[in-house]
Amino acid sequence: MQETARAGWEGVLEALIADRGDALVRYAYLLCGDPDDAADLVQTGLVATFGRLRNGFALERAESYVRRAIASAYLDRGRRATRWRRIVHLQARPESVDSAARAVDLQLDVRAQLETLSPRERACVVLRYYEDLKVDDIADRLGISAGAVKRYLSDAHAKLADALAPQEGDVHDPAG
Amino acid sequence: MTPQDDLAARLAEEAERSAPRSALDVDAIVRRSRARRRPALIGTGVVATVLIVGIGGLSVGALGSLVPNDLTAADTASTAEEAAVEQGGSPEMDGGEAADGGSALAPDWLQNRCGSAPVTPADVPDAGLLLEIDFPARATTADDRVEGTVRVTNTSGERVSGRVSSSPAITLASGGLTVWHTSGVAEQGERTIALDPGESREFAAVLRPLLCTIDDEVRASEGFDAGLAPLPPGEYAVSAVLDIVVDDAPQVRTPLVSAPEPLVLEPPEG
Repeated sequence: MQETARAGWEGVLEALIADRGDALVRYAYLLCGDPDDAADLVQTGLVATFGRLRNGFALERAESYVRRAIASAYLDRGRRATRWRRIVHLQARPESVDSAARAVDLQLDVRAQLETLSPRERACVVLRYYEDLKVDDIADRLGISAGAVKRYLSDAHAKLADALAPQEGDVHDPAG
Repeated sequence: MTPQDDLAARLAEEAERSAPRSALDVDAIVRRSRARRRPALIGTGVVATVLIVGIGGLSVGALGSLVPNDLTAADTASTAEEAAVEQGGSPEMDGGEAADGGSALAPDWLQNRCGSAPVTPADVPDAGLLLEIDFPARATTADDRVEGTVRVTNTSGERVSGRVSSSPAITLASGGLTVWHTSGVAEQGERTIALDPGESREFAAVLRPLLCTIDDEVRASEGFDAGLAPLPPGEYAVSAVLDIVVDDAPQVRTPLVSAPEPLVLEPPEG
């Protein structure tokens, strides 16, 4: 943990940004898919957390709160954007999504694959495969039931089937 | 390499390749965090006055959280309390008992505001007190109220005494988002509580199968139930939040959160 001139919670915040800031941005980027939004999500999560966090919290514990706040902020934004996304979906549905050539491209482009997921599906996938969390831990992080997490992962697997198992059918997720 | 391993690797590659680096402005984040702490501090002073902690509705301490950050983001401290915050401390936040395991979450997190993800037991430190709820597993959408109980059990090895609000806050959630919560600043006073190891105490609690949105929160302090539409039939999750101030640390609110329990709302018969 880097040395910091700030004291108390400000010191933890500064050290967290210095030591884990880029990792938090990568995490947020996978959630939202936009570099600018990722930085904004992390800042929102940090402010939401350190705007309340008392002194004395270790960096690791503070980071877990921030990651939770980032996921919450992402889902809140996704919920607000849902109505607009529905309109866009009706106005500009990609015509080539079903083509074989496009499918091959999507297999190679995880970014495009993630775009096919709903915010909650995406969050579950990122937490499961990038954060390497178990289903129960994902449920805790997102504040939803384990059953809901399994459903979101199952739906996500169906959408990511080409990328996950191009030669196979169903995907078995050992996360439990 | 399994498909899951492959996906994990590709996610890591994508994040490494595309996420920006050094994109965070430490000074700006510190400044915004300081600004956000001010209303909480002011609220803390009021809470200390009225001695109410807990979530019988929208607590006074949480009112500050409803103030938009932009309205509180002045860069200079104008009061002694604000100055204390600027220096990194406050009566609540710098009381010396803030080691890991202390209360850390904000009142507004605990309020489970409409449309937000409800707080879970994993969100709060283990205080050695278990909060459990007991509500009917089924009700109808026509029910005006559904009565249940909230039970606090001392799971630690030591006697715990302190103060709690007389009625815990109940939250209904659907799809991981709050669709209703207890509202109204209840002038119901507080209760003292003292539990020996293993001892429990129950509180009566009520939920209403109504649908609230974030826009309704502005009326939460006075109680917003009267203006809400009934929830549609479906599966919901019920949980409870109750803050306690233990006598050993009178300036620290410790949030207690129950695990969610399922509630099926059915259409009214006939």
